[in-house]
Formats: sequence, structure tokens, C-alpha cells
Amino acid sequence: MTDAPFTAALLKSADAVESPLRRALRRLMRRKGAIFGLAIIVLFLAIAIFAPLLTPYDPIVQSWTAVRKPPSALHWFGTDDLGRDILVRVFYGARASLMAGVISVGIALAIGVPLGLAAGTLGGFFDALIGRLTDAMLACPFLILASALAACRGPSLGNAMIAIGVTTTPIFVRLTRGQVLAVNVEEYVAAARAIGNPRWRIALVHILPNILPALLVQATLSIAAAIIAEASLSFLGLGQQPPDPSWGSMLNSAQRFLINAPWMAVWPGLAIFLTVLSFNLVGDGLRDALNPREN
Amino acid sequence: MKTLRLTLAAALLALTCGAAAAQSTLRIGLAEDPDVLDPSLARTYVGRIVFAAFCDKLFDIDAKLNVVPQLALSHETSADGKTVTIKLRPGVKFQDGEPFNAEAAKFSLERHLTVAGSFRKPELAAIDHIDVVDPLTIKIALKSPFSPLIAALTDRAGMMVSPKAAKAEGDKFGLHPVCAGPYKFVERVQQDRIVFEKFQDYWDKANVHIDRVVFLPIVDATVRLANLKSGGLDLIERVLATDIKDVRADKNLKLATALELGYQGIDINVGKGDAAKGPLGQSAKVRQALELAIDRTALNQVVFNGEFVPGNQWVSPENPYYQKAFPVPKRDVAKAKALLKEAGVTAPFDIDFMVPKGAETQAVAEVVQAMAAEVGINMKIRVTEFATSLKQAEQGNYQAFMLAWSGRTDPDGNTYIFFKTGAPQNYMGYKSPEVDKLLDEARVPSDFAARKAIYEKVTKLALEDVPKIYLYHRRILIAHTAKLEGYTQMPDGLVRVVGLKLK
Repeated sequence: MTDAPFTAALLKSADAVESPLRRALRRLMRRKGAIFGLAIIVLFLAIAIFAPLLTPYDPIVQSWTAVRKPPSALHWFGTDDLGRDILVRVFYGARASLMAGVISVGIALAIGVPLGLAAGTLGGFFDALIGRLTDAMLACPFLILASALAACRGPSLGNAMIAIGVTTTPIFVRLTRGQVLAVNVEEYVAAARAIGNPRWRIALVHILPNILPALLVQATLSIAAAIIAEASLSFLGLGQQPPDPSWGSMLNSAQRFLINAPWMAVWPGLAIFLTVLSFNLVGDGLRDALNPREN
Repeated sequence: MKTLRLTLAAALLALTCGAAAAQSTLRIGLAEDPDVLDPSLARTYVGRIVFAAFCDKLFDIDAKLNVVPQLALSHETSADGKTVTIKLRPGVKFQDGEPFNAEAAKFSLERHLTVAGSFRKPELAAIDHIDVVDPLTIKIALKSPFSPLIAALTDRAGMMVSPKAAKAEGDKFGLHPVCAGPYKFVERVQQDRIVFEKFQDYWDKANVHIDRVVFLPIVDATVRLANLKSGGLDLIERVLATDIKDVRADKNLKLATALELGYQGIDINVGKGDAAKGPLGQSAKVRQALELAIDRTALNQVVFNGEFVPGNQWVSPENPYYQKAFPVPKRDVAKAKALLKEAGVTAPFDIDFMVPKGAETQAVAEVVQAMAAEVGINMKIRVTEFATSLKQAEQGNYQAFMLAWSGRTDPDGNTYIFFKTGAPQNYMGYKSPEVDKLLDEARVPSDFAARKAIYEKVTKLALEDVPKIYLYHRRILIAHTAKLEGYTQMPDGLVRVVGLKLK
């Protein structure tokens, strides 16, 4: 029942027995960019999880005799302005970045999808209300909301994630609502309605599974944006608080030493670039792989 | 005919370009865009740099902090300390052609005292009234003896504005300021540039050699230095201590330095609201332990390549008012731990450490954090935007607060408003009747030795109670091209443009 939208495509397809999931995976694996992105993401995930095992240094212990040393056999990425090993800080920074990406998008999904589903299925006044609310939220710039939140709750990584999550929410509300409206007119939904299913059951069992692909693609792309957002907030001092490392705050302290100690900026910058690029590549790959009209 | 006209036009263009090139311009890179250019309403350091180009004061200071004449020629305090007579320089004109005289001086001082939102009011609060004795003499009557008055008149409080322009512009005077300085205001484009041109009737015009001065705010220190190197700027302020080596190595650049009059320190909340109720706010021993945990020399070495000067008082060790009987203490972790034990505190414990945003400040905070952690004081850094941090400090919403003070020539300016009970910048909530009494006493004598003896007692009390931990004194770092001649740096950090030449 759940794979109904694919039925038409499946019948035309030569290998009619292949499940949609398997087909999507097969298509994804054909894309070199997506595979590269996936590999990098897995690598960074592994680094984030096993950070303490990978290096002998501590990310916050300062060494005042080894301040701003260039990359060497001892410190592969060099040391920062307070004599801390940059490699280990980039490793621990991966934790902050990936966590911020996943959790803030998780928040956005948790709030946005139910609201979008409700707005799409209920329609009427509730739909109009949610529509206006999302409009209002989209009108509020993310940095201003984040600063306001930091001002009243104090700056921290947790609050940064909330701010990013809340500002990402309207995207998911709109996407979910749009998808629901598109799927609502499908025959299988009409059939489910005809049998007498309650509205919540239609929404959760018949509609939601069929709009998941679109949400998955958007979530992946949003993670990339959330990682950039976390880096920006930490750069501005509104995210991760010192001494805990974050790629954004590392860039902020590197700013003063662009000429004297460029390695301080290069590594965290490269890390942000690579993870964001990877999530975007995977997102693009997923979008193509999950598109039923494309073979 | 058409060709002729074109040729003529081209020739004319070339001529005007040639004339423009012959005009010399000094381009100064500032670290921020200044606030309003009204000497009564201004409150920023960067604004004071701009004022120095166009707004002369009654008095100025020299490299040794002596008061020297500028628009005034002399000052004399009566025996009871309650009247100050000031003789003014003859033949001075404001930039709108109005004469500078006793009436104008009285007007300017009264404007500082009365205009709405004046930040000069507290600096001149001791003034009761001003009398015009003759066209070039004013007599200032004080409510009570106040020896820091003349020092205040070497800064914004001593700046003279044209009465005609001030009356005409009202509260918009800051948009078209008219003073009696070497350059006159031409235009300002917010966040972009402030342009001045030579004032032809300046009283000391023989020493003004450059035609125009342009101030350009460039926030990023690295970008400012890059602009200086590439020739886009002629002079920049606030060079990073870590870039000093770089500037010295470049033969096209010169570095001018002076030790600041202010300090960088940590305010400790000892009496403002609930935040003061922790062990740090309640026990002087815990605060002494925190001070002993800090290695000022290492801090200076790590963050500033050792270019700044470690200090433990509100004036630097090179200042005449520094109390040598209380030298900078050495780090002593064992003693710090013992003090914590004596105070009956179980380490480790957390401190809310508010730190204004800024890469250098944050780096200092992180080093302090690492040092304090070794004795069991866990300083939890909370990075806060500067204006917000001041507001939170006023409300007592912090336990420790990294705060700098740009400093004043008179020691009163570095102490009174911070330590006096209920004073505006006493963010610590410090209350000491003894210190209050001494601070008032120190305002009476004008004799250096007598005042220093009073401040010695204040120093002793303040260093025992530790409502503030002084860390270091910055060097004012100004870099300029080797083409600029005649630049010397004064300890007040201002950029004086009279006497400068561009080769």
C-alpha cells in the first residue's frame, strides 16, 4: 500500500520485482559525487565518535611553550594561539558541528512535519493560521532570532541548536503541507477515505510514508545549512563557548593570525567546507535517486 | 571645433587631476566607526582620536603627562582650592570665523554641563559657576576643591565649540561640528569615512602641513594592517600585539607606541544582587586565591608575545602614581589552594565569567580560565556582546567580568567612579566607607606627593579586598608609513596631526 505512487513506474520498469528502496540505493550508488559525500560523512562521524581514541592530545589543555607552531610531526595541523593541538580540536569540533546539524534539523522535523501534516489534512482556518505563522517566521532573519535567544537564555551550543532548529522549521512546514496537498488527491488516499479511515490515520499511515522521500532530501540539505549556521553562530560567540572547540570559534580566533599563522584558519575552514559539500552532494544524489520519474 | 573642445576638456581634466594630486591627504584607519562627533555627547575612544584632528582643548598633555597650554595659556588655583582662574590664548578663531574668547569658553563649559545626555557632566560636576573676568580670562568657582579638574580639561571636557554653531544646530551639532582645531569638518559617511580639510585660520597654522585628513573605519585589524602595507592607508591605530614583529620587519612602516593610561582587569561582583552571594563574592581570601592563580607574565607572553606590561594596580608600573610598595605578585598555586582551604571553600567550584566579545579578550579569558582551573576555580566563560555585557554588569548579572578601562591622566579618573560606593562604574557593588573617605580626600590637594600618599592607602585596601583584579596594561600601538614624518605617541592614545608631514 505504502509504495503505491511507485506502482505505475514499477509496471513500466523492466525489473518489476525490485523494491523502491533498493532501486533508490542502486541509483544513489551510481552517483560518484554522492558516494564521495557519503564517505566523507561516515569518516567525520567516525572521527566525532572516536575522537578521544585518535590522538594523544586534549582539546582544551593549553601549552604555553608551543603557541602558534606550524604543522610538524608532533602537531600535524600545528597549534593555535594558546598552544592547543589543532588536529584534536578539529576532531572534537566535528562533534559540535555534526551534533548541531543533526539535532537542529531533528527539532525542525519534529515541529514542522506534524504542523505541516495537520495543516495539509485539516485545511480551513487551521491551515490559514499555520500559513501565516510560517510566513511570520520566515520574515524573521535567523541571526537576529539567534542573537535574541542568546541574549535571554545565554549563549551556548544548545541554544544555538534551538535557534537553528526553530528557524529551519517553516521550511518543513511548507514542504510537508505542499506534499500532503499533492498526495491527498491520489486514488489510494481517496480509497482509504472511502473505507472510512479517520483523518489522523490517513495522514499517518497513508500520506506520511509517501512524502518521506521529499522530506529526507530536504533534511539532508538542511543539515548542510545547519552546520554552516552553527559555525556562523560560534564564530560570533553565540554558539559553543570557550574552551570547548567548534570549527566556527576556531575560525574566529584564527582571524587575527591570517598572515602569521594561516594554518589556524585553514583546517577548520577545510573541515566546514568538506562536511557541508558532502551533505549537499548526498542531498542532491538522494533527490535524483528518489525521483520516481527518473530512471 | 569639436576636437579642439575635447582637447581643451582633456587638458582641463588633467589640470584638475594634477591639482588634486598635489593636495596631500592623510588617511587614518580606525578600528571602529566613531559615535557622535559632539564633544559633550561622545563616549568612545575612537571618537577621541577623531576629535584630536578638529577640536582643540583648553589644555593638552605632553609625553610625561604634564599639562601644557593649548587654547588656554595658564591656570591658577586659589589657596582654598575653590576658584580656578584660566587665561585664554588671544587671536583664536573657530572654524566658522567666530572669535574664541572668555564668553565662548564659558558657553562651551556650560554646554558640557547642561546639554541633555552630556557625558561630560560628571567630569565637571564640581563646577558651581563660571565668571567672565575679561575677554581672555575666566574664573571657575567650584563647589568644593577638585584637583582633577585641569586634567579633565585636557580631554573632551576641555573642548571648545563655536557658540554660534552650537546654538544654531542644537542637538544636531554632532552632524556638523565646529571647533577651533587644525582641521575643519567636511563630510561624514557613516561606516565609510569622515573627511576634514585644513582650517586656514588655525592659531598654529604654521605647523599644519597636510591639506586633508580622512578617517576610515576598518574593523578587522589584519585588514587594516594589509591596507597600510599596500598603501591604502597612511596610519592605523590598534595594531595587534602579535603583528608587532611584522611591522618592525617592514622597512616601509614605522611603529609608534606609548604605554596606556588604563588597564585590563577582571571585575568581581562583591555586592550586586544574588550573583555576589557565591564564595568569590563573599570571601576576600577566595578572590586573593584567584589573583594568585594567575601568572600575569605568562598571560602576556602567550596572548601578546610579551609586548604588554603586566600590572596589579589601576596605573601601570611606569606611571608616577604607581605604588612600588605593592609590586605585581608572582603566581603561587600552593598559597592559592591554602587560601581556599582557609576560606572553607570546597574546590572545584564554578564562577560565571562574563567576557565581552573580541578575539583578544576571549584569548585572555581562556588563559585565565586554564590558570584558575589549576587551583580548583572553574571559570565558566560566557561570551557576551560588549553593550549587553555593560548592561548585565550594571544589573549585577555576573560573578566575574573582563573589563578594560582606557584610562585618564589623573588617578582620580581611574579610581573614583569604580570604587566609590554607588558610583556609576562600580559594577562590583564594592562598599568600603574607608575607601570612600580616602577617595574624597584625594580630590583636595593639588600637590603630587600628598595625593600619592592618600592613594597609597586606597591601593592597600583595594588590593586586600580585591573587588578588581588588574591584569596588564596595553601598549598603544600606532603604525604608519615611513613617508609620514614627525609622529610621536602620547600616552592618552590620541593621534595628534599638528606638525605631521607627508613626504
